[in-house]
Amino acid sequence: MLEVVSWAMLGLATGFHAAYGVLKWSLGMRREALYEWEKAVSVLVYLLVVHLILWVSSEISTALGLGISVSNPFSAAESLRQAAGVFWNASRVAVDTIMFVSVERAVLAAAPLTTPLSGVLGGATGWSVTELGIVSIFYMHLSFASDVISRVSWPLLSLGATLTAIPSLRKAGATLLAAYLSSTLSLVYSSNVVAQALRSIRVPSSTSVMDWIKVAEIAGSNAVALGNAATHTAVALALGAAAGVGLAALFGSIYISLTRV
Amino acid sequence: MLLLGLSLAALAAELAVLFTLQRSGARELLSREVSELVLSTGLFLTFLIFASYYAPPGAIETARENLAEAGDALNLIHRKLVGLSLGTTALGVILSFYLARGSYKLPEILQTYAVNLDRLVGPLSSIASLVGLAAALARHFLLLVELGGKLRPYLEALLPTLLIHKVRRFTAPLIALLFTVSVITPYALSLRLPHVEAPLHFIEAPEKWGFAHFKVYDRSGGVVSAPVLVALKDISGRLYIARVSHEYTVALPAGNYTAAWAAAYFTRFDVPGCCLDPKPYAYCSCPVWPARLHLDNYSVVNVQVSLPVNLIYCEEGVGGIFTAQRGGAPLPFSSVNCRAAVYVEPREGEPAFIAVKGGGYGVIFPSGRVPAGNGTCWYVNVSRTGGKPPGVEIDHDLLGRARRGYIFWWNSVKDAVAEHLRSLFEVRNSNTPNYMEYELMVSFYKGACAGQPVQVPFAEVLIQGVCCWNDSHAVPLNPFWEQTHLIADSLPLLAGDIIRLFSLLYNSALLVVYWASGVLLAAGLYMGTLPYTAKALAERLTRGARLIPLLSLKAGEQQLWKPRRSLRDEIEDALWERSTIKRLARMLYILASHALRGTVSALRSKPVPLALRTFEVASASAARRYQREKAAAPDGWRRRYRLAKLARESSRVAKILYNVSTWPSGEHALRTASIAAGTLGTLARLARVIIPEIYYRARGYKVLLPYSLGYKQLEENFLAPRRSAMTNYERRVAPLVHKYLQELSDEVAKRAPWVAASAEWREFKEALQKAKRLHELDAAAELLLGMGEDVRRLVARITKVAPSPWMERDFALYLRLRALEEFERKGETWATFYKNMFLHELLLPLDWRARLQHKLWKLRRWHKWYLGEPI
Repeated sequence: MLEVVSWAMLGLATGFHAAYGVLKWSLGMRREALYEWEKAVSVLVYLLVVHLILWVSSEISTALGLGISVSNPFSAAESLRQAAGVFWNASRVAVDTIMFVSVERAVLAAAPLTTPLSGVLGGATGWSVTELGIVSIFYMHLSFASDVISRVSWPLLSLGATLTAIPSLRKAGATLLAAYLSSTLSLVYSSNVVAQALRSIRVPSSTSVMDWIKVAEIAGSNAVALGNAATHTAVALALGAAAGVGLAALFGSIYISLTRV
Repeated sequence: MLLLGLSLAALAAELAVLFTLQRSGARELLSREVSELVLSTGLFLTFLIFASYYAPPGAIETARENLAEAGDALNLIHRKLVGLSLGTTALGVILSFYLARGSYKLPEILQTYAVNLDRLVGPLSSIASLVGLAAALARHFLLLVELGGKLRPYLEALLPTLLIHKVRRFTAPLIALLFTVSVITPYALSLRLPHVEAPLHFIEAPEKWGFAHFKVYDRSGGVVSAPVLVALKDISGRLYIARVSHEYTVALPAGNYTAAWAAAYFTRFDVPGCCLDPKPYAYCSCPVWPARLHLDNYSVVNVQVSLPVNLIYCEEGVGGIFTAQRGGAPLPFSSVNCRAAVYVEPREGEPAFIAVKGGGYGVIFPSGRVPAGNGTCWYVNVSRTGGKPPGVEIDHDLLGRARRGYIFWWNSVKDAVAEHLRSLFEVRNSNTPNYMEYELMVSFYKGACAGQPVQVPFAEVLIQGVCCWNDSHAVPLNPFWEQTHLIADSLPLLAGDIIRLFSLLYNSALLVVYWASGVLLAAGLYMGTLPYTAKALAERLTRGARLIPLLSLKAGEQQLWKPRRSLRDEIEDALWERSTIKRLARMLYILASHALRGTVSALRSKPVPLALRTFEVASASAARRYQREKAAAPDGWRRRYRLAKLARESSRVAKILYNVSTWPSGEHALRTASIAAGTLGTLARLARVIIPEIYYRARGYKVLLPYSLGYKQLEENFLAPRRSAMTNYERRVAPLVHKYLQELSDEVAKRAPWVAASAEWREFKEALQKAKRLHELDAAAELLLGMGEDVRRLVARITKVAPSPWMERDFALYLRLRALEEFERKGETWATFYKNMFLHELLLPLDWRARLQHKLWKLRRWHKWYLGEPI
């Protein structure tokens, strides 16, 4: 639905500028008419520029073997939806591991002979449970953010392209376009990193005796894998945000107008 | 340097175009961009120097090694601490419970054992968690440093882009972040981290456990429920002392053990060598059997403890031990109320021996009155022989050591045990009782009866117990207590070391965060304030610079580069140059600048038709070329045919669009058709004014049209402020208008400081300062509004007067009305009169015809103005 509204908004903006330009042209305000038509073209140009940036990013990532599929806004929205799922899975894995450790501690505390070992297990898994706890919250929020951005990506793009063409609203539009590009690229890249980390992660199974025995080792390796992915993700998001600020400044400050030379 | 050169070249090209086009504001633009370049160059050099001097690429490797070393050390310590807490738990807690109480109520005790309350296990677990977190922090830093190493080339590639105009706006935030990750982080983490020595003593938790089930009997074969100590040695010589009673089960680490002794009532009964190496058919008295124990994983071994003595039971424990025998056979006895009574049947020549460790004794026997036959009676003779009961005195030092260890252990775990169970493990103050060791020889002989005969079958030897031997005396010994004690002592030192390391890591993290925040904040400020700073700096440079010839030149009044004459005049002028080279250079410059200006002028006036015409011609040419190629080379004719067709179609469409774009406007068409005064033309003119008017009204601005159309006429006709000397009206209103303009200009200068820095602003301020009369103030207001669209919008935002093309008139009327309203509020009626006159408000009530006529007059007046006719 939002996609249709976005396309309608784009069409409406382009049509409005074109029609207003025709009106001004017919009234003899030819320079102003050209400005209006330029705005209509600008909307399409900004869409094209965003598409081009996504395509170039996708090509570069494919060449680097990153496997990010964001060659156009359609696939970007789909990748963001998948990213939300990946982040949610990572959060669930972290929570499941924490729950397993907690259950084992509870079991140890309940059994007479092993009660003191519960504290020992707490000491052995304290760091991993803390790290997994932080990581699970981090990924959970990233999942929400990816989901929200996947839903609003089309309105962001269309509103950004529409507003950037209007001189007085260019900065707002540029910010939206930059937010769309930076969040899409950084989140999709981060989800790729997390998906790779998830491949090497195993949630301990309650039916496996060895998992009960080696719970500290499993929790530790899960914490290392997810924690490393979280650091990569944080750096990627920070770089994305910095690039977004730069893109916003770039879109907002550089405007090539053929009719205003 | 290449990028700096490119940047300067791009800047020069942009400025050359701007100067050639004679765009206004080129002077400010030049100064601003030079200022930006100066600031950015400073930032570039700062980053470059810091990156190359303080954090060269080698710093990354140093930081990486440092962190890897710290991470490895922390991981090792974490593993050891976990093993240590496991060992401490298993050997220090569980084993001690077993050694003290066996399996008696142990499940209940361990079930109530509160996790993390143990004074040793709790801190150990906490330290293990802390060390694990420090190791995780080190691991994340290591990852960050490695990422920084990978990102460093990108920083080095992007850093020079700070010098490139416009591009720096995109790259500055990225550079700030990359600088943080790849320079500041390694710099902060290349500090040397201290090594942490692991704790000196480690105890490993046994992986397997076995159980020993004890059955304890006394000399007479009765079960013993009193505490008996059993000492077991493992193959490494560690001595375990368990406190057992009959049917106790004790858990021990799996392995081979040798029974050393059993003890009761301060008496140790050593296990003789024959018990350890029994020979067939050889008698051996073993207080503990089997003397060699092999405990397998979860196996249970039955152990029998046979005390070679009998016990005297008191209310609070054991009061003594004794043996009683005659001719190798045990004598009957009973033990009640801390006393043992040994019954000795009178026999002549067969003395009974009673060895005692305890209190004194007494004999109940009526000597001389118990008939022994033949008119004789029995007499008893009790004498001490100097013998002792079996066993040797227990090592009291060992007991003291065990007691101290037990108390240390119990104090560390008692908080973790439920209160109602603590009494099972509490040790009270106790002293070693003053017992005696002696042996009695009880013999009988016959003699003459000395009284009324009494039938008594035996002599009763009463042995008094000396209390006591109980749980407070018989304390177990866990060989791991001493190690646990040492660990507990070394724990504060270890915790101190780890906290120091953690603090260093934390401080490094803070250093990274502070630096990163500083750099990012600086980048943000740089991005946010650069235009203003550059503008302010530029203004100063333009005003006062004498060092930069170009700026000095531009600061002057004469604009030398601005062509003021025609091409012909300029060429004629250039021909007067004496030097041929100069003449040629000047000619080339004049031709180039005129060509560029002409092109741009053509583009500015008719860009769309020009572009369409160019495209049409190019497409037609391409179509012809493809057609020729098709005719010349039949191969591949299909492709050429398609291209030719496409070019032809493009040319056709471009031609149609060109025709459309060169069509005259509707208004022009109407004018050329001599119907400009017709309805459509009028509507067109009306639309040109009405559309913006509606637009500004819809946006909430004040539109004073058409009242502002005639305020000058009204003033000239009725108030005469221009022709004659200052009238009262002007004398009263002008100062207020002056004040409003002053206030407004202050507000504009406050909100838009860059406007206040321009030359036009000085011109406006001078005009305002000189202005005394209303028309002079109008001129000053026009100067203010003529400073650009930004100022018009700002004034509109402040005063709510619409920033329309007729804003100057609306604004002048607005200032007058505001002054008149102020007078009106003071109750001056002339102001009301004048205000109504400006607003064409009727002063007196008229009938509806007069009102209608007035409305129609106003409508006609608007209409005339809309059509551009004189009012």
